[in-house]
Formats: sequence, C-alpha cells, structure tokens
Amino acid sequence: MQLDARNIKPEELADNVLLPRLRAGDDRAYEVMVYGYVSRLMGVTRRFLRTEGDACEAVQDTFVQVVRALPSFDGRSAFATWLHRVAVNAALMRVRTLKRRTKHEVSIEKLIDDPAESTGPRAWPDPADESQRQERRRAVARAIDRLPGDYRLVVLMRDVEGLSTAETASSLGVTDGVVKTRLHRARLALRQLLNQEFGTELP
Amino acid sequence: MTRDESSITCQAFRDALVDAVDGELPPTLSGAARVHAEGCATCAKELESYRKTVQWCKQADFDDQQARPGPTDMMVMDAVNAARRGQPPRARWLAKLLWMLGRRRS
Repeated sequence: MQLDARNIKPEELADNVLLPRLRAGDDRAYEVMVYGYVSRLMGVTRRFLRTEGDACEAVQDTFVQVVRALPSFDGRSAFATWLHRVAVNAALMRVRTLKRRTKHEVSIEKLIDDPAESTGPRAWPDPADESQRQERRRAVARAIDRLPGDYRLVVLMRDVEGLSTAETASSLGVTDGVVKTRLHRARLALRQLLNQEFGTELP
Repeated sequence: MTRDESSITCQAFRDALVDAVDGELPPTLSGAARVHAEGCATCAKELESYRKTVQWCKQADFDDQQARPGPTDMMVMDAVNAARRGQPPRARWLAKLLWMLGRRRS
C-alpha cells in the first residue's frame, strides 16, 4: 500500500529516530522522510515559483540533494530546518534557471508611485476575529505575489522566510545594498497594494 | 543634543526606514532618526505604517495545502529512490503517467 502522510506516526519523524534509520538505508525511513515533509516543502517552493510543476521540480531537487548530502549532515540544526533551507535554495536555483517575467508583471515604480484606485470600500479585517485575521494574512500573500520577480524574492526571503540581509544577498548573488534597496521598494509597493485592496490606510 | 541627533532630514529618515525597522541602523543614525520621529508627525506616521506593513508580511498566509497523496508525492519518492541508486530521476511526464496508470488499476 502506498504510504501517505496520514500513515506516518509522529515519532517516526523525530530526528533521533529518522536520521539513524536514513543513514542505515532503511527504505521505510526514506518514505517517511518524503511523505512526511513533501507537503510542507511544496508550500515553501510554491511561494517562490509560480507554477505547481516548477515547485514540484524544486522539491524533487531538494530531496535529491538531501539524500546525497545526508552522510555529511552534522545534526547541529534540526532536520526540518535543514530541509527548509535546502528547499529555499533549490527554489532560487529554479527561479534563476527559468529567468522569465510573468506576462503581466507591473514595474515596481508604478506600484509605488501610481497606484490604481481602491478596489472597493472593504473594511480592514477585524483583528479580534480569527477568520478575518486569516483573510488579512491571505491578502498580504496575494499582494506579495503581485510584486515583480526580483522584489518578490527579497520579500519572500527577508520577511517571510526570515533570512538575514547577508544570507539573502549571498543566495541571490547581489550586494547587501541591492537587497536593502529592493526590499524597501517592495515594502512601499506592498503598502500601496494593501491600501488599494482595503480602501483605507493600514490600521 | 549632539549635532548628529539634530541633523537628519525627512528624506534621510525615509531612506533609513528599511534599516530602522530591521534594527540595522548604526547607533548615531539610530539616535538621529529617533529624535526626528519625535519631532515630525509625518515621519512618525510613515514609520508606523511601514512597520505595520513589515509585520503583516511576516504573517502572510500562502495557503499551504495539507498533505494528500498525489503525483507530486510519488514523483518525489521516485526521484529519491533513483538518487539512492545513483541514477538520474525519471522524466516527470513518465513518472506522472505511471502514477495515473497505477490509480486506474487500484
């Protein structure tokens, strides 16, 4: 029977159980690793890559790199943290390989300086209401997805994934100054996009 | 008040926002920015809305889907097994076709 994430017991994913079994070549351990983490990593790569197919390729790349690097993984960070970091880098590699702009990508200058009229008199979600807070979080994600590629990447890496300026610069192959400039302009654009969606300024 | 703490302009304050919110301002500039915000309502409001934008970015929800069996899982497992054998992964279209054939039989 094909394993899926619902068949995995939480204790099978514990680092002190999973890692020794992976190093011992246990087949089930490899299945547990894949089915236990694939959804989470798809979520990470989908933020960077605009299609399901590209995100899947990046997740494949991630697990293949992990399998090859397993003998040298020293366990200083949690296994999940390491997987996450490899997935972010695999997604970035795919972004560089693809090197395409989306058809309707708007320039960052237009988003900052020439915002469209508000899309409607929607009120800002009530922060006391959990479902409205959720809607607010989704609205922010949609706004991030509207940013031009280079600006979207820095926001994803700095503000969503929590990487440092230096880590982001190193991964993108640019200077710290370029990261900060792009991040600043991206944040200004996001503020405008969110103000447009909700018709009033951020509360 | 030192000369540095009194000399920052509104433009310089706006240019420093990205470092201010990320805690990366050098100490002298940090002091100057703080003094400026205390005396300029427009810049203080700018700082507050910028800070809120960043906070919201950190809470962005990309609607990560829950685990479900599907071609992605099987294709990834296929690639892992190939890597363990020291082989390149099967082409995605082939892996997906095999998954679909497997579903039809079951």
